[in-house]
Amino acid sequence: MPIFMIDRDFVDHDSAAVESAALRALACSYRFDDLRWIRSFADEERHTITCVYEAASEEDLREHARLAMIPCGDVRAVTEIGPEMFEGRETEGAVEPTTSLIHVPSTTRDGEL
Amino acid sequence: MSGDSSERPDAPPLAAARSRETEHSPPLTSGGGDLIRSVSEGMRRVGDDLGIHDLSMDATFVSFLRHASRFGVFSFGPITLDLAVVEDAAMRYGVPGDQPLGRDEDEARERFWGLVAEEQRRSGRRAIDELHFLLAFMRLNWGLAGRIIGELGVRPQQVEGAARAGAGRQEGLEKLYTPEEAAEYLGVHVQTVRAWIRSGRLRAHRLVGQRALRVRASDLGSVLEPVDPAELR
Repeated sequence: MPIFMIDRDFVDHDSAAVESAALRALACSYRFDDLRWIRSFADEERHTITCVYEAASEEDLREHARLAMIPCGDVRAVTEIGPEMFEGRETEGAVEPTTSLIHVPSTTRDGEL
Repeated sequence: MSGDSSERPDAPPLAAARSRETEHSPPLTSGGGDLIRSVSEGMRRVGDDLGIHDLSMDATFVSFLRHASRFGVFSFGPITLDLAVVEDAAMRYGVPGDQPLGRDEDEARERFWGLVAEEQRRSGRRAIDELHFLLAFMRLNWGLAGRIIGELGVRPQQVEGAARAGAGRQEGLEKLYTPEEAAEYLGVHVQTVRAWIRSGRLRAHRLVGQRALRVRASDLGSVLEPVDPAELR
């Protein structure tokens, strides 16, 4: 499922208004089969909230924002990168390599390949 | 109630929604994400079943009642509602499904979810539950919920009192926690829980004939106290 990042301008950064918006977003997310709110980050300096969603399409996200009565600015598809990719932790769908990633070429006695 | 465009001064009272003290206030079910999902998904079914706008506050209220009712009756403390009567009223007075919601209704939706969040904060409970929803409907005082509960003359303080009293009467049904389980739930060391029990701050019981301690779920709240947001700034 694609992951999207959404920028939302929030004029009213009052915590009550933000909580109300978050709850509306959560409630409305259940109206879509393939839409999941992952996480949001509020930037109080820039008066924006950046949201990360899993969704079938940008259209679904814009419709979701309309139903939840929340702002919806830039929507862009992104790729998720995390430390678990390098630390050998279990991730969903991960496939273990069956051969070494480093190929050591064979050499002759004289050191020629 | 304020600003409800569907209110008619001559509308008859919803006779089957009645206010009476009940001795037994069954616990509202545990809430959290399941509650929000259940109410949200239920709103579409309410809209289809009753022909009202599925984003309206009336649809939210009916969906909530459907989630929290048993055998067609919603009952909590001084509030008892016949779901069929409420749904009938929703069909008569709710915003029709083929009409857009007005600005007043949109503002009511914003206020409602803000009140739910506020009730959760005030209670100190980790997840949003049915009591938070019920109190938010009461404090919002809008649409069908405002009208019905207004006719019953029930105040939020009565519902909160019933919640406290009702939880204490669930001895046979209430979840019991070992000190270790209580510590995990509260996010503290088990020695902290034992210290609270020794000091009397946290009530505990022994199983008959055994040394094992048990703490009732309803007593866990005694070690929580609401935080004034002003303290955190």
